[in-house]
Amino acid sequence: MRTLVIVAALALPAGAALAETPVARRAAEASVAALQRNGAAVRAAWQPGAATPARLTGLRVPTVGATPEARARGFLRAHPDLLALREAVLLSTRRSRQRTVVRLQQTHAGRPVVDRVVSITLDDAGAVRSVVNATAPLQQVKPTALDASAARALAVRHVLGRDDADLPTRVTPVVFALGTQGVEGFEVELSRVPFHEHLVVRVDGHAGEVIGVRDEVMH
Amino acid sequence: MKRALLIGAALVATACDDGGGPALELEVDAAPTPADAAPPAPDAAAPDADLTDAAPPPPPPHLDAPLAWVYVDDPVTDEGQLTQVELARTDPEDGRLTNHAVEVFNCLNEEGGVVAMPDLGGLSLTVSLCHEVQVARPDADGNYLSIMPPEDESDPNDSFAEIMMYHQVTRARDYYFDSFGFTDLDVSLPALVNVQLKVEPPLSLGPFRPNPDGWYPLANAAFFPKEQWDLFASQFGLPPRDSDSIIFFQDQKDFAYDARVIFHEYTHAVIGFDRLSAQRVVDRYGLNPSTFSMHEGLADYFAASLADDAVIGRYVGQGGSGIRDIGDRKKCPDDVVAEPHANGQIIGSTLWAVRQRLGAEVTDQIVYRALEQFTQTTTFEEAAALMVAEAEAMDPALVEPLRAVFAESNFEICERSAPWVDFDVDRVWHRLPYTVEGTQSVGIAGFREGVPAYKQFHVDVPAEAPAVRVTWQALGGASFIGQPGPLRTPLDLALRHDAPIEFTYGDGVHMDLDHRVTPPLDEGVQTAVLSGDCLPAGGGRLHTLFLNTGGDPAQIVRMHAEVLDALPLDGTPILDCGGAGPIEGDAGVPAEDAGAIDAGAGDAGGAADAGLDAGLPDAAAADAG
Repeated sequence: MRTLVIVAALALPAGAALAETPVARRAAEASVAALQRNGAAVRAAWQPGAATPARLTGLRVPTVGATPEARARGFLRAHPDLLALREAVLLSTRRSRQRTVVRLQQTHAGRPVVDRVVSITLDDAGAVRSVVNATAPLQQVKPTALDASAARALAVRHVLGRDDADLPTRVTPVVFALGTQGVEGFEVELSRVPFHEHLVVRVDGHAGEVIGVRDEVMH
Repeated sequence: MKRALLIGAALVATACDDGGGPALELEVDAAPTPADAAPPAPDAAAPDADLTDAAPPPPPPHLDAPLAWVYVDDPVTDEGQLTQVELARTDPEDGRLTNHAVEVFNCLNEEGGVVAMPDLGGLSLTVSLCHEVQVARPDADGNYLSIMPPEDESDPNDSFAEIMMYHQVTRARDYYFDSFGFTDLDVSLPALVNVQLKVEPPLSLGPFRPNPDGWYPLANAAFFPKEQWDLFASQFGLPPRDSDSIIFFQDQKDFAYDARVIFHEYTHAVIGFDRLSAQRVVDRYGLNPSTFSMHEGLADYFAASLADDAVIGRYVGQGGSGIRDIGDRKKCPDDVVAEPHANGQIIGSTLWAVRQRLGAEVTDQIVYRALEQFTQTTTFEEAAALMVAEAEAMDPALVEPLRAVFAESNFEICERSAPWVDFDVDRVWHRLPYTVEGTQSVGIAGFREGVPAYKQFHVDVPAEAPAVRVTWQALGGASFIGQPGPLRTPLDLALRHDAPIEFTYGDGVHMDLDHRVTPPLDEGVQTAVLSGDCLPAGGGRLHTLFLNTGGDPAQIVRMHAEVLDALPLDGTPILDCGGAGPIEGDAGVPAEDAGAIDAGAGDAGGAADAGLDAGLPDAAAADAG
């Protein structure tokens, strides 16, 4: 059987920094082991090849902080190798009868990393009870070759088939990530008449290409 | 604050659409209207003399629990019979339908709505939105019993829709609060009913055609996240707002009359956009569509559980059978499709089966408590694991029956490779093509050399079989408005013996496969006879995966595979996967790897015509995607 590496778009130069994933994995495993020593019920689940766990359940880790976000961040600071999440912004805080769930979105140099979020569940006493993790350390992020204006123009042409400088849009600089690799890009939101889908156009800023369009209205 | 509405969400074909079928003949006149329960309408209560001199009537009393007629479920389930219920107290003294859960607007077909005049590249349009007004008011006695369904269900201005929306959203809110302590939506969620729009000059866009009065009927309902509001509003000069909204359109049927459709949209609002919003994620088998489809599947499940009935949209669907029935079990990988409503039935029907096994209260708690922890990219597999963890925390005895039900639909563990079957888009339950996203539709950076399909297909090859013929027909383009056009870029087919093709993602995308072939494309059809090294030596299972190197998504509308007794002599390209040189047209394989592909594939294309359509089911269905 042969293994083909089919995608070079995000590939690193040969040999560059590839050793970091196993190192991060070992550090994360050590962090999980430390948590398990303090709580026998702690279970961790890992995706194949991932450097950090996808899920931790059975936790009961006390935290301190004035807000649920502060408690969640305090937990991550106390276990820095667990997720290796160095930079994140608050996505949401949701409360229900007996728990509060804090979602933090991974960022890179201030740009949100699309779809990479960790969900940290706190009980009424403020202890962390579970972690559901979709973040992962990025070894390399390719810089954008486009500015926001160029990305906007590309997105508008892709959707409308023509330029439209007056069309209201919202452009958000982001990072698109796959595995340990990232690329700077933009999410361009626009509305198309006469039937106004609310489209989000994803632009790979490094390649200068549209990589996706979606309608964010749900039926 | 002035609000406008989402006018075009229904343009994108969805499973919430009733398909434009004929309206049901419902005897709404048979609704109970006992004389002692229905006071005269406000305008009928006034004396017919001294009108000009009479003092204005006192305002109706502001009741804590005003009475109203509603369909508890919908006109079909309730067999046209209305039920008298106590509405929740309104916040405004004048009885406008606003409370802590919902703020209901009737979008009237009259002037006064917001207007935009976009320029579509030289074509100037005037788009008028219906006029949002809180119309419904209590009768003189403080109740709403005079508000009944209109004789014509297509009435675009009726206030009965307002009553239904107010009651059912409040009911849904109370369910989520009472069951789970959910309060995130205690913000008077804007809810619009009877929504239509007018475009001048009139345009006919596919199935969307205006009524004689110029208003466009739309058969759908939608959840409109607040994050998308500002952009839309800016085109109409409207201010931003600080909450989500739900929008119910009016066609031949009024979507607000169907309680489970309201529960479905409300559940979208409950889940929000910080959970399950990723349209697709990557995993070991390629692209996984389960994340966003869980938004739909959970919206179905909770709507059904709240109503204690597995059929969603029994009224707005055609013939009273609903638009989805989560009592009809779907499973992975057989029923995996890209469309989220259809794919969502895998989780919806699985959870309904759990509910039948464990009971509604326990199941709802398991599901909701797991949902609380979801991220934007949680998949079926991860959702199942969280549900098992929650069940174990509630009562370890729940775990075994829960996992047993999960196993029946491969919900917890699914190898996404299904048998090659004779597939015809018009003959499957979901009537949806198999979509293979393109490099400009997938939304994930890193697949420039080929985007994998959502599932693989396998053929069991006998030891003595010399060849397997595979053929498929696909359409391309038009991921949004418009009909799909011809496929311009041929699909590649990855092959692996005895195990599914597997992906890992580290410093790039790595795919474990044995061969990759590109059968020639002729008028949307690709056919190849796989032989020699393409097949597992000594027989076995051949897994295949479509890869799309084109920008647009491909829509596979027909597929066929057959094990052959002998190599065909009809000119069909024969691939043996054993050649040494690169093949023409195999753009998806990096040069250093091209030696894996059979040199015979490239030069066989010119002789391909004879067998192209031979194996495909029903050529008449080719444009049905």
